[in-house]
Amino acid sequence: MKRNEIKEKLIDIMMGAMGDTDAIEKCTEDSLLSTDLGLNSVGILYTVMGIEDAFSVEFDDVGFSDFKTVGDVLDYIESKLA
Amino acid sequence: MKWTLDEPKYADMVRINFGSLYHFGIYVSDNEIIQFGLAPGRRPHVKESEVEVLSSDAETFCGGQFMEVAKFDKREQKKRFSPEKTVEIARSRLGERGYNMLHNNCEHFAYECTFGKKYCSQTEAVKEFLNNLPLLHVYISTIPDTVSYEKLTPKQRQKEVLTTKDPQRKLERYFVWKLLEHALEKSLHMGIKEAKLRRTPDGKWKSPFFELSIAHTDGTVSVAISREPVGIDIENVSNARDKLSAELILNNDEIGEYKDADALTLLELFAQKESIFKMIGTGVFEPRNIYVSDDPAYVRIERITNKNGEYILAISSKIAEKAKIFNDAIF
Repeated sequence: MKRNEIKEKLIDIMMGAMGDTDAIEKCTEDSLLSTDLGLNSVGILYTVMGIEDAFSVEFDDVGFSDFKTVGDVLDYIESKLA
Repeated sequence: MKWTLDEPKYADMVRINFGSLYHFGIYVSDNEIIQFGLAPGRRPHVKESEVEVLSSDAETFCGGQFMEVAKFDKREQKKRFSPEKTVEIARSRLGERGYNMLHNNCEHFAYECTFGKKYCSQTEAVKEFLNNLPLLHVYISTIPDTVSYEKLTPKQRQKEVLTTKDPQRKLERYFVWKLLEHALEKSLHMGIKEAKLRRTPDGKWKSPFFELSIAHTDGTVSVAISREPVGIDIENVSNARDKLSAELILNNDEIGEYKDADALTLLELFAQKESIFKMIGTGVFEPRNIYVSDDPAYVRIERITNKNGEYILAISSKIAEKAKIFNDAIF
């Protein structure tokens, strides 16, 4: 799967977790999950759950605070899909 | 003891005021006032370990302030050393180091030279303040949908809020700080500047005078102020809408007990864990690394209702059961 396809899916997942917002829809890889996109701790929890379902991966070796930006999440998903 | 503007005499205890504090010394003559360090602002920046007992003239001691002289009552007059002995003790300690703001400061020094034992009215006042701190107060409020942003103190918080791009998050960060200002005034009669709040490298806000924790979500903000370490978390009950993943929240020891728990129970556990993490205060939040305590004195769960809906409030503290909760819409 190409990186931009992963990103589009991730955006859908984050919108499902936090609601449709402009910030999430227009996010870049440098967007900070917390301060730019408004993801709080339970929002991150739902995002992780959504990623596990959508990509059939498991977040078994990382912590919640390991991801600061959208790019960090994409890197992790890509590494799991490789 | 009273303080007067009389002319100082040989062996008098003297002081000058700078801001909210005083600097003390033993007056020998206009050319010799023996003191432990110089008043801040009168000395180049020195480390506490380098401060020593020294002698200066009155002009240096006073730094433009009025010199006040201690006037002892009858009991104190009987207890004090003779003037000769006071000066002899003070001179014998010239060059001495070991300054400590709380336990061995200029006021302690002056008292020791005069009465033979340490006493510091300034640290006693701080101790009394600390003893009168509320056990644990938790404030909760809804927030408006828009605001005209005012300046926040300290500047670091102002910057944090202004650089937050998500509008909802920005509002919550702003109003949780305004709630903190409100809480400080109500519980401690203290302004935000006096609280001397500083942000640690791992993103937590701390004061040297009390413990605090802040939390916000979905249009509701909360603040806890306590004399003991405390952590709070607040979660919107509507977030328990799907089957939450127990595997992401629970560790191996907990999964057996809670694996069939419903989404609301898991959300409560998540809130508890986040509040415990905030109380402990270091590292990164990983719910699987935090064990939920069964001890009700340590973790307390409350349901909070306001115009925005229903929330889970988790309070972690060794005095959690004593928490007073103030749930008012103050904005």
